[in-house]
Amino acid sequence: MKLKLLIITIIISITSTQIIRAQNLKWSNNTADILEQGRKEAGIFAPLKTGWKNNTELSVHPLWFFIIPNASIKKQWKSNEKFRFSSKHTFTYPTMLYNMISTEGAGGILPETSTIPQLFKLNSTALLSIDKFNQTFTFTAGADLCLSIGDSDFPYIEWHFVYPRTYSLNNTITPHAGINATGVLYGNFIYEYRFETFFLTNADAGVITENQLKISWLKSDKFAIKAGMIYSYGKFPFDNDGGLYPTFDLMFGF
Amino acid sequence: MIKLKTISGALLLFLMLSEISCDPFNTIIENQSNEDAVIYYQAENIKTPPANPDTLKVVTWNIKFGGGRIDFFFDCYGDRVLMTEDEVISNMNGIIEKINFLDPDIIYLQEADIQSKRSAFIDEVQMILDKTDLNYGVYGSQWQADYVPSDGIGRVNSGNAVLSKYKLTDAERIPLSLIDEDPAYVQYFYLRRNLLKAHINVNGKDIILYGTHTSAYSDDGTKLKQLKTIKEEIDKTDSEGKIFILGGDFNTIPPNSVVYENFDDAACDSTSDYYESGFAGQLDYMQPYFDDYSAAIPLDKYGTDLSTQERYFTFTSDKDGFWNRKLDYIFTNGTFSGNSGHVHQTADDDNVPTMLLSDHAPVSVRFSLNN
Repeated sequence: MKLKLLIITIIISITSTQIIRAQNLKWSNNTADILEQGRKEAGIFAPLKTGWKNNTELSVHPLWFFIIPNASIKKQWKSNEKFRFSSKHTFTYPTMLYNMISTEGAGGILPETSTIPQLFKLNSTALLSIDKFNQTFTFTAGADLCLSIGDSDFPYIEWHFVYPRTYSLNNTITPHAGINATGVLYGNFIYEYRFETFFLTNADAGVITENQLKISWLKSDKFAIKAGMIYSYGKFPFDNDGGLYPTFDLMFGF
Repeated sequence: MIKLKTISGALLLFLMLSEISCDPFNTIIENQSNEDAVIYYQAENIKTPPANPDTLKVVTWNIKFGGGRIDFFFDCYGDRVLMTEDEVISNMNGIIEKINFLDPDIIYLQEADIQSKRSAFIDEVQMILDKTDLNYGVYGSQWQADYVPSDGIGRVNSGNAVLSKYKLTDAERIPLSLIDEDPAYVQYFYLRRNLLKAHINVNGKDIILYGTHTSAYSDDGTKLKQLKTIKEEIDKTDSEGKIFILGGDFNTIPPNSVVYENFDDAACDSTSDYYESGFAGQLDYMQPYFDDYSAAIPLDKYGTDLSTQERYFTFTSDKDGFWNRKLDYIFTNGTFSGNSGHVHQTADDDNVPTMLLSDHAPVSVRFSLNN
């Protein structure tokens, strides 16, 4: 009943939105659009992003950088009236973090006896955005690739939305694809709905899907609040299962 | 139009918030009703149980999640956290072999894993049902979490089960007190003890089965609270003129026990979370049960000297030693047959060595249906 009501509410909300193109907004989103050159934004949890030259956006997660070095580049290759096309490439080195969480007692996500190799992970994703019905629809496809060097003996982290994002550390590659819809809900309220599928590569593995709904209140170009939920469902090592989690962030632009 | 959008936006936010659980790791089993918190099981193939039996063979056994005698970190004998699938299957096959020799009509299991990373996500309750003459089962979780972020434990679902050759009905998971001295985050992720209740009907006689596993590491009186709750429940059943059989791991030694501290298998030092300080001051905890009901191993049989008592010990954490305390019990307000209570400590009875199967030995007794 609640789900039905939710779907109806979303449809009503979307079909009654004002005619404002999402890509005109200053804030970044999960489309093929790029932050305008010189603009920076950061969140409590979201990475620090900056619009760079030649339709390029750079980002790094400063809080996490010293335990999980990371950097990301997003480049817009084509933009015209019909569509925009970009690619995003994120490099992470999770070895230090994995060594930290392989510990006894509280915080021991992995057993203390785990052997963590040198892990170099690259996520590459292609993004194609089109504007239709006053919304922006973005189709994504990509893969996590992980190069592992040295002895390796550590289990999966089979926790809902963490599992597909760390799967490649145990299994080299995780292809994924998704669709994203975003638009203005009302005034400065922006919605973003994202459906993503991770294709787990082992013979006995399956597919993990994620439905994410987020509403942002863009108070100004300098401050925004994002809140929503993510529902992860699919075939985990134990069985088919699902989990619903809140998402929240405070965003600052400058 | 603005009003519609405002209402729909507010409604959407409300639904989002109400849909998001306050229990993100899904540990709070008590969010469900006592009836809904039970999982019913059935063997893949139903075997015909004995018709009109005179007695029922009742067993209780803490099977240590099929961990056998692997040196786990919590025993302080080793550092293992997770088992491979082959290890679990091998250990469970040993347990199943023992159960098949014991041939119980009813068995109470403690520490049965149904979906835990440490036991390779094998459903041990279903495995036992499929490989023994037992047909039906009920399960009540005592430790459930989508992910335990401690010691690499990960996902866990472990608990009490009652398995029977006869159909089980009207099951409930009755929650017991949480350990008061634990901080909130430990309480959230740690064990949630319970009394599992179910009914069977044999020869037209309705019998209520209770299985339990009380706290091990509590020095704050929680275990006593749990024992009182269990006693109140069986007293209520008794006062209503109904017959019950209660079995389980009570983590408490009997009155008159000669050895009650400084056990020879202690490997955890006092700084460990798994240090057991002994049972001084707890020797009378089980007395009310012995006072009011029949025990599989009555106190006169248990005796007052070590050489007698050690024949009924059911636990040791040291696989190279011998059983050194009695923690496991079966009680009834009905009648146990003669001198049928027995602790299966060795392979003497059935050629299946017990010591390597679990840190507990099974206890069995025959329950009379003629009284």
